[in-house]
Amino acid sequence: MINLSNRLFQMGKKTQEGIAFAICLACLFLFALSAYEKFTDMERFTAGLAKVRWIGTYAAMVAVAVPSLELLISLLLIIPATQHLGLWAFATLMGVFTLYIASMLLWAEQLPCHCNLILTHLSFGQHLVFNIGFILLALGGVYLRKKLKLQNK
Amino acid sequence: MTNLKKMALGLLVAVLAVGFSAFTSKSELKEHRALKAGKVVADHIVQIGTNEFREYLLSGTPNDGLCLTPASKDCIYQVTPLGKDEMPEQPVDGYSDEQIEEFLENSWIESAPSSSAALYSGPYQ
Repeated sequence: MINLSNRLFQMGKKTQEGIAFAICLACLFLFALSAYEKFTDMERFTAGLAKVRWIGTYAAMVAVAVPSLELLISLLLIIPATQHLGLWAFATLMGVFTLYIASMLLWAEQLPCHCNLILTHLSFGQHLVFNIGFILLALGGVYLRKKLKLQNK
Repeated sequence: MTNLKKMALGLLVAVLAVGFSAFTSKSELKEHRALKAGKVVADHIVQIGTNEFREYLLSGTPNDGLCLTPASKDCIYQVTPLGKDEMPEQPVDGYSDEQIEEFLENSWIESAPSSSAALYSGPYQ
């Protein structure tokens, strides 16, 4: 970790800016894709959520709230002034998704997942690793942006 | 890079994501349309819950590593060529135990080679 941090410090400012921006774009791609697929196949998404014991009663509300939040965070990631907030929001929502998957793996008999096309073919363990990877990526983006802001002062 | 360029690039990525999704969803949409027309389209049936069997509508074959919870019936069934012509459309709640037994008797489906008596815990549509 210290070695990685030292390397980041050695990187040029432009490189760091480029990496931070690329991270924003990667997060944006994932959420834009996910939100679009949920909105275009709302019926299937709602039906799937309705089967989950803890969500079932609120399935219709959750089915609208999740892609709406993903869309909102995508917008935050597009606008340069709100990208920092967008990365935090992305990491938080991905954290919630990760907790959901982890709880399903631990306690649910059936594991319903209505994820986007990239993730549909992954097992739930792989899905968990994928999510954690993206959370770390987003937090890395937050760290880089914070560091750049301090350097600019 | 100016803020305007960054925003334009962000919008481009969002459009690409939507385009990518629309492009890859085409084959699945075709399958859903066929389902509505009353035809069985899947090559495999998976047991997702007790007395609940569903068509596996994703590309490729079901992953037998996701057959986790023990059950009385098989986790994955293959639809035979005869079954493709004869099997009824999947009901809204999936096929039942009785229907699966009937399909087996008629040789419309058969247990997949690597299948075990368990529930399928992965995504199927």
